Amino acid sequence: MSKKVLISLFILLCHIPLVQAEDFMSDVARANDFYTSNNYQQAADSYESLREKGLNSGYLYYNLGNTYIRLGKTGPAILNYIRAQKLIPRDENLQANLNFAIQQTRDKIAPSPPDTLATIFFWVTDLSLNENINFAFAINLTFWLILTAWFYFRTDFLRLARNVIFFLLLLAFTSIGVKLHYESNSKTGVVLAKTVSVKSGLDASNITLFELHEGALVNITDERQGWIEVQLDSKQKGWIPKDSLGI
Amino acid sequence: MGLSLPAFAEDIQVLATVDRNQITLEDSLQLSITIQGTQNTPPPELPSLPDFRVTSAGTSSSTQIINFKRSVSITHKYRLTPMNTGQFKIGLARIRANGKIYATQPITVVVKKTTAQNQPADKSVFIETNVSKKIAYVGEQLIYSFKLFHRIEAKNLDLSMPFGASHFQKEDLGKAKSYQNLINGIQYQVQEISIALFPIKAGKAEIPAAMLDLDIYHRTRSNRRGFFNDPFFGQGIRAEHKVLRSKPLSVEILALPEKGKPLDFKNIIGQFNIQANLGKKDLEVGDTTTLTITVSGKGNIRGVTFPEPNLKHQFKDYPDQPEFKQTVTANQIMGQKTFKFALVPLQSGAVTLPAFTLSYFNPEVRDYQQIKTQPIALSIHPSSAEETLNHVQSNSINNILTKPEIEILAKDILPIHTQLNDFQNISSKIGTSTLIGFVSPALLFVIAAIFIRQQKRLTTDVAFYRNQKAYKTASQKLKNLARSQNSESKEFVSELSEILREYIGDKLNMQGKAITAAEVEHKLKESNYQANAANNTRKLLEKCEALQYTPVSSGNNLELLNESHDLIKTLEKKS
Repeated sequence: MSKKVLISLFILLCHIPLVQAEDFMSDVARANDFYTSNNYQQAADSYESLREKGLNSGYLYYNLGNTYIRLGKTGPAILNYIRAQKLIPRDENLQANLNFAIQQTRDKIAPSPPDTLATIFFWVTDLSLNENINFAFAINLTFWLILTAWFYFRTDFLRLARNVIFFLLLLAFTSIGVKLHYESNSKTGVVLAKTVSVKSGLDASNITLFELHEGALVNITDERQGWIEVQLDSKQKGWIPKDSLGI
Repeated sequence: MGLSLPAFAEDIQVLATVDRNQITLEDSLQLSITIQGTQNTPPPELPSLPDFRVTSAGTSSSTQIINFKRSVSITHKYRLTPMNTGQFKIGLARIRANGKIYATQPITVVVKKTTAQNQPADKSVFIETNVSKKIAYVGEQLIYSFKLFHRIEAKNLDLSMPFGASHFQKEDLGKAKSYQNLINGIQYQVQEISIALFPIKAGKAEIPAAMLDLDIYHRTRSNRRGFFNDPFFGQGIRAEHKVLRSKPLSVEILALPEKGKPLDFKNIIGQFNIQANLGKKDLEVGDTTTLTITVSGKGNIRGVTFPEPNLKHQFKDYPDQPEFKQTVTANQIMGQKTFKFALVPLQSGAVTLPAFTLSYFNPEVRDYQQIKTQPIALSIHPSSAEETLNHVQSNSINNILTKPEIEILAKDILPIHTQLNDFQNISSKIGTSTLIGFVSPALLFVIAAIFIRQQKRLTTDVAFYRNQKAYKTASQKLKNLARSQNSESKEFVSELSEILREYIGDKLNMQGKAITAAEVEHKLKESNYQANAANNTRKLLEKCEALQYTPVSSGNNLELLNESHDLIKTLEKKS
């Protein structure tokens, strides 16, 4: 009876990361062909279509960013690079192209430097949410296996291993918490309009505090009535219409 | 001499007084503002006094009790030093007290020029300023000196010595000197301070008057013999505040002549010497030697610079930071500036280092002069560790001569990603499956823990072991019995009865063979088996016992066997 339960659970575990990548392969290959044959508009349409179909891949966003750079649309390019960064944070090509795109903008605003929490949990920003979860999965499984072994054999080594893995498990869960905190609270937006006036309030009649240009990276701090409150690193704050910003 | 003003309020009075109202430019007067009736007031607001320099001279307060009546006052004192001659009015000073404003009366003061009888020879204290040259060139060093002569005690000196910053650059020449000097047979104590001035533009330049504030102490003799009738105790000291002013000085500054000006002239003015020294003159390729250029002399030596020597790729040179030392000798700034170059020969052979030249203007001869170092010859031998050195050398030469730098022609993005296997759909949300993934190892652990615990109990707890194994053992025995050929014999029934008893013995952890049917029912009920099941068990055992002692077989032993099997099942389920 217990064996059957074990096997069922194992099968369930194995089926969690099920993907449907094969459905998108041919479409991705076609979009890549458009790009390599310099049909950038068609390539962009194909990548966007894949995105709309539900393909959530760091490399899709990266290729889409490249395509927009070729089309001279710096704002959408940076937006897609930022999206890609959440999924493939350690990709060097992505970082290089993001820097290149930022240099093409008028405001040249670099992404925010890590705050104290991100400095302490330095590995969290280098791992995507899924990588953080997978790491926690592995540690979780190891912990329960070692706990079972210790339950049976009760040796000092297993006791030490149990304690160490338990500490790692806590760390892994905390990392997921920190990652979720950044994913939900630290939202970065990219200005998509050529020029946008940052207003002092939720209305176009308010005074213009400063202007931002296409591709400018901003931190989103609030959203109300179709307006978004944005903040720059230098603590300059103001409101811009939601449709002028890509999130 | 004092002027008073009736106060606006009955209890508070303010009073402004001066210690004298006719003074010379060398004197200062003391303005006292007394507030009677209170001591808790902010300082008075003084009127604008553009013709005086105002310094605070302290505050004093007093309390008096006369006929049991207490009166208090506070006096604010100011020293007023006149800046010009003429008749001046000290305006209203305002005092805020008890929410009201009180004002003093204006006071008129007359400031006269220094009287003619105060000639230096007659004075007990006087000052003197002078400049080393009345005509000088731009950049030439001038010495501006201030001297205080006094033959009585002078204290609290406060010197203001402007030098005309729009015409000169100043350089300090150290601390003040103190010495004695005889003038017309009178010995004076002299305090002298000097600064070096460097004219910065041509034209007539004026050095403004220097001004010295000081207190001098006159010894006076009293007619009264005083205490102990001793002349020593009749002697008194009277302090006097003085302001001494020098006369402004004028200097004519000449521009440097254009005629004969060398091309490499860099506004260096004075008299200089130059010297060159080389550390090692006999060395190998790759060795290091130090070339030292020393410029010394009088003038603005700090500004001397040399370009890097042109060594025509025969040497690699590493210039050091120049060292500058300044000395003041006989009120003249003397200096020495040292330039050092580390030279590393790159080629062997006899080499002569080029001379270093310095062009400067000499104000003494009113002309430009040029000095240069002697050429230095040195012989360079091929390196004794040639192979290694050549290798290093060739690299260093390449580094020096070609300075390879990658020229960035353009910037572009890196290519798209084409590995199709990497385009996997990633769910970025934490869903039920994720939670199941985290919880299931814990569930597995619980199951495994129960299993392990049971296994351990089976090896240590006999009663538990018998209980767990009872059904299996009894079932097996019943199957074996069913397969036996003599199902109608009495032994069959006897064995069936024994299997049942052993099963119950295992379940209840007791000796099963010796137990009676009535005891079985009782024990089963004690162990919380249902009464019905216990009753059926007793009946079945009694039936078996009856059949054992019946002479003829009933012929339905197999039915009894099935009944026994069903009973065990029932008991197992309800245990």
